[in-house]
Amino acid sequence: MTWPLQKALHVFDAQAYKKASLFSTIFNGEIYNPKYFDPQISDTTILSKNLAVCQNSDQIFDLLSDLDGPFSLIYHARNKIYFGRDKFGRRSLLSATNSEGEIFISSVAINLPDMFKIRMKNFSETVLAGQIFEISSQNFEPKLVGKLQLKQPFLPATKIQSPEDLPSVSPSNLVQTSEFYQNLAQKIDQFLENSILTRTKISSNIYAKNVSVFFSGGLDSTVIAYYLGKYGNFETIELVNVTFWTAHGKFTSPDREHAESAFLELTKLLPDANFVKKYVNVPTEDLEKQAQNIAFSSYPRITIIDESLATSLHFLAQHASHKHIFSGLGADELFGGYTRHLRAFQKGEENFLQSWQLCFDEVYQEFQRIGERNLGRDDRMISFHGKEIRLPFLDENLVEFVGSLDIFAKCRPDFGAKSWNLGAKYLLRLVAQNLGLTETATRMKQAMQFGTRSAKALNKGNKKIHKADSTVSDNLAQFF
Amino acid sequence: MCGIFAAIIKHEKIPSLDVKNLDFFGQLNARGPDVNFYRIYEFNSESSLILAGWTLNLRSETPTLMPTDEGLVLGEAFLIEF
Repeated sequence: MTWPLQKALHVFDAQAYKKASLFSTIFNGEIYNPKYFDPQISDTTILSKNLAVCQNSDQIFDLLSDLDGPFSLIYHARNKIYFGRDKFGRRSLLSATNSEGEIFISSVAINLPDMFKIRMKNFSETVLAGQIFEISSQNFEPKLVGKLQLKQPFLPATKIQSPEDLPSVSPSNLVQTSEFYQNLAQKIDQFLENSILTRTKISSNIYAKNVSVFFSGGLDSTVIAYYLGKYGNFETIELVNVTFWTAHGKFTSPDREHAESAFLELTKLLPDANFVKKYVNVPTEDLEKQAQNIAFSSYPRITIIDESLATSLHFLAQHASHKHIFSGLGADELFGGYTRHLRAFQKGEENFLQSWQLCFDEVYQEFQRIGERNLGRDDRMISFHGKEIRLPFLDENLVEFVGSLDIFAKCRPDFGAKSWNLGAKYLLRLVAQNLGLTETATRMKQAMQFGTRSAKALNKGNKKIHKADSTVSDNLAQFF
Repeated sequence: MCGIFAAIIKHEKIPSLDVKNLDFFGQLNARGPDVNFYRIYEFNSESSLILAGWTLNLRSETPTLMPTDEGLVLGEAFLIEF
């Protein structure tokens, strides 16, 4: 392959005005494909090298389609710019246009000088997960080049026809399971090990020395912490847990209680791993002091539920001691862990195929929306503190494998509401059980905003919380 | 790398811009404490293209050299020109 000579970069002259640049790449992300990995040079260089030999938009799109890992990028090639986000939308990218047709693309909404007539509120999440746009010097209207897709699309809900075809397992424990699930659990175990190692790798045989984990003590974060402890060789695995002050509970919370139990379970199983607890109590005055920063980073996601989640993430990231922060985010969307997945199943009113189809639809749609609903906001919240999030459950290989499974292989809403602590993410719970995390494996999910008490601390009993998904937060709206 | 920015703006606004002052980028400037870098290009006869980025060097063992106001420093490369 011919390789254009890299232009030497000299001391930057603020007055320099570049008239002739053929290619420029601004890349916020990581590339995990082994074929693009070179321990001697950075991801951006490798990507630039490959982009430079692309002859047209289709080739650029094909190259970006091939990348595994989180990213947002802007690529300037001759008389065009291309910009977009990875398949799941793990990195934020917003855009804004003013009345003069000037265009602004940014990881986060910002107030620009008055002459541009662009304020934060003009930015929107117009670049959705996987979307790649181009703007040419002849036409500033962004044109969608395409949407990046997984190499293996999600398969339909299920191939089975009746309850008798379901693998026979106990709805009351994880011990009495079937070979069908055990085989899948072994594969998930392997995918997770690979995902963790990929995300801690710095070079061919050098790994990060210290990492932080957003640690609620729930199933997802405890499984991630376990794999870090088992397969990493860290000086410190910091388990960060936040609790917000409430009049009723003071500094107690469900997450704090679960974190303590999970910590004991982890240290018993992996006594040589260097787990370190970091329990943070957030007083009300800190919430008030940080309200503007939280609003600015979260924008344009400023509903009540965004505020609760963004607040938890803001303080988790602020108090994390290390730049690499691991999170179990994505497991609920991938394995079917939300109560609404159970409710969707129940809407099928005991019509077997319809129930599973409705459950599948809800899980599938949830996963498709994760970039828009969560990931962009979460990236903005964490990057505000100059740190980066690692999401092992959103590994392309793992997602493609889980996406290829029948819906009943991931979750078992047919166990009913009383056994949803087993049926939700059944397959992942089985993985945890096999690891020896027997207490964590059956722990009921607590949404982050309730587990940390951030929702209660922010809303002070506000009844609007039940419409949190769509109601704009008054606390955040005051800043715009 | 921790944050990226691009703007296509009218040429005549360039002289009055103070992109060297990081306050220009506001909240975006909090995202990558290691290094900030930017370039301005001619995009067409009427408009300029500003590209800017904030790096967080997390991964590369021998990171690409990149320029700052003080000179070349090490960091996860974010802007490569050919």
